[in-house]
Amino acid sequence: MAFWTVFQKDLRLELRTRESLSTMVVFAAAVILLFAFAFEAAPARFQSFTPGLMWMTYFFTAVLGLLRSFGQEKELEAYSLLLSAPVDRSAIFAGKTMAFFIFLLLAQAVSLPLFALFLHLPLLAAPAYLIGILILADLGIAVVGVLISGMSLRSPAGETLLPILLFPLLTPLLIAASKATHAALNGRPVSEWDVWLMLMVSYLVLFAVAGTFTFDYISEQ
Amino acid sequence: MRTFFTVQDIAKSFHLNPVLKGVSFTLEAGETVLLFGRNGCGKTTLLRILAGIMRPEAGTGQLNGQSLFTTDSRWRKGMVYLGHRPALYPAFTARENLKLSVRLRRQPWDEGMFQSLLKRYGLAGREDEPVRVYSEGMLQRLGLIRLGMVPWQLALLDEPSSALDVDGAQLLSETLKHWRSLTRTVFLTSHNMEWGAEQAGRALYLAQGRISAELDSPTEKQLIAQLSSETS
Repeated sequence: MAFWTVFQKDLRLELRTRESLSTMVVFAAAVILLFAFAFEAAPARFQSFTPGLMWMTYFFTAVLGLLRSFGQEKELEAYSLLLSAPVDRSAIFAGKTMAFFIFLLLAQAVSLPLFALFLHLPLLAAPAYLIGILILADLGIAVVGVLISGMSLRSPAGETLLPILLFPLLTPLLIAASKATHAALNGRPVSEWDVWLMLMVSYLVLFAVAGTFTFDYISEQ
Repeated sequence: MRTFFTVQDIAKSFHLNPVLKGVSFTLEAGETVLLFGRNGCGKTTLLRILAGIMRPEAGTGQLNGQSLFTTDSRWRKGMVYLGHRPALYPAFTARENLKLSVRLRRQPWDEGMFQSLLKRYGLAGREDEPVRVYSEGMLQRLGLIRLGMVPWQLALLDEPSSALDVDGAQLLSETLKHWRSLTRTVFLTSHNMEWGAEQAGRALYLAQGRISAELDSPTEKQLIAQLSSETS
């Protein structure tokens, strides 16, 4: 119940303001265009580094989205309405995580074709695997992003803290996502890269459990 | 009256600087109690701890037998909090903000009560505007309407009259009187000693991190004298 209330609230708020999504999409598109004009490489060479560029772009896209999304919680101290309500904090964590996961997917739905168009990412080489990798990595980014953003709400310097804390924490996930994306889109058999999938699943489970049990403590000042 | 709320030895520090060093007090059902003290003495911190927004480093408490500060979220059910900032989403309308607040407390939406409170607090016809266009006083009035939309036993009000005009302050006084008649307890802070003395049946003086004095049926003069005693 509280999960749906928070989830719907975040979606409705985004529909009303479009602050997070528009920022995320515009940033991703700008970076893709910059990369496209900066690298003068043959299409075959693009395939070796585009997955890494893609996940680096989505890391910064996520940071921007989280800053906007949690900025709305800080304005007029709206988050204190959530914290003082008689609801489990784990429900707040889950609701905000799922909403941000949807934002990430939507931003990627718009920007991935640009990766294909300008940076020769072979999106259709293995679409099912790519969707699976996107879901796993986005869930991981959303879980850790909401966890750290919840913590940064406590600090006046939260906007500065967020990328500083988030990048080292997300590095294993981003490496695994880049490796898995590269292997999948280059037609490698799953048995060669399933270790990266398992790493992503383990990462996701670890931080989802940690977030569920610690959000109560870290969200309070 | 019966004691239904009690806290013992609440402690909290910021960056190793202790703000609350062992706050203990009780509240009885239906009374209005003023918490007063100098700027920075920890009034807002104490109210935010009691509302569940901050976590105390030490201390315990009970509301009607339910332990406070636990991971069981039910302890926050009997309390409502209205802070300096009204805890509203600027992009949402007044109606959307209040519906969210009501849903978070698992209460049904009562449109009739909403309309009646809007009228009473002078916001009728403004309920479908985003609250980012509201003035500070209107936001404060909306915060009071929110308190009227959900059931509670203890209201924690931090400077509730600060942004209100004369009419708004009068409305707030009438609201507090109404709540007293319903045996609802209010724990509030104010820097306006005249207004605070008019509302409160009891006053707690917070200084050096503790409740250092308690005044029954306080007058404005007594409150000011108490505040002055710290500097003399």
